[in-house]
Amino acid sequence: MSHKGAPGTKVKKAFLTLVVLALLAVALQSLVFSGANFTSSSGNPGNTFTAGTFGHTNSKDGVLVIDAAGLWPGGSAKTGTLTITGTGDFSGAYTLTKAGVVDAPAAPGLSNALTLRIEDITGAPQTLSNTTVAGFNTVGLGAIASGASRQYRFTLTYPTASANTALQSASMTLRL
Amino acid sequence: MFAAGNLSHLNSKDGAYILTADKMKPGQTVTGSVTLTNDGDIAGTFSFAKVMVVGSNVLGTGGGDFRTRLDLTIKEGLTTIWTGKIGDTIPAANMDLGTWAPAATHTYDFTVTFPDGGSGGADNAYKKASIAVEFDWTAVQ
Repeated sequence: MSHKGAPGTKVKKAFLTLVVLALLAVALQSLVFSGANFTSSSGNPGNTFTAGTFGHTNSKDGVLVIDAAGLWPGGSAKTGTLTITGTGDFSGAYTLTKAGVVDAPAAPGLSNALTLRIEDITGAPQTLSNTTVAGFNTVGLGAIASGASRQYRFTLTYPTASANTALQSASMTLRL
Repeated sequence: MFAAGNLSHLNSKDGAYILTADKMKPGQTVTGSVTLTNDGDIAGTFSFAKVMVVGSNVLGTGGGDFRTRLDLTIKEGLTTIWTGKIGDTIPAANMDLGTWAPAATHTYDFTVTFPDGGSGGADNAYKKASIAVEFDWTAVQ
């Protein structure tokens, strides 16, 4: 005689099997993800670093300061002025440097005879340099703050004591 | 009774910058410090990360790049945690700050320097250059 379980018993067994499988799946999942842990975090944003700018304007940038044609020993001095204005974010220590001089003829050289006086005339005139053009190399113009301006006067003279007939019709170009 | 532990930490400047500088000029150095405290009741392994803020890197008017110009040094006391250019990648080993017991406190000193490249406008390329970084701190149990 064959013995067959009742239909309800089969359903119960199937249900129990599913439950066991489900529990097993949950257990396995727990094993797989058992690395979860506590964390704590914080942050410091906005560490920003920005460079400033620095510059100046020259009222005579790229053009001549003095046009001293027709100089002669003991004659009137020739003058010119320019203004330096600080721009950007910082004050700066300024220097004026001779970039070059060209004498024609090269010898004896008019630059050896002419005297160049450089003054700061922003307030009461203050002489910064007073030497022959050939002897001038560089001079400190002082500090100029951003937005501030200083005015400088350049005076070119041909002293009588420097007279030299070999310099008649000589010329000189000075670049600062 | 079973009670879970609590892992947390305090950041003395949480959400704010540690150091910043505007209108930097060559040769300038800026400093800042941050203190972190394990204020939880379990030990944690701490680490930090330096993150370049996307879009923050602005080249100077002459094309100078602050990522390869600014020097960053991170120290704890006299011990240098890391030093290099601000855009450099920090090795993972330097970012691991170790395991801190509850109540442990560590202070880190940050220094950023804009090196002076010399006279004659050597640094002109960096005028108006800009960069931003974020420092993130993480603790895990």
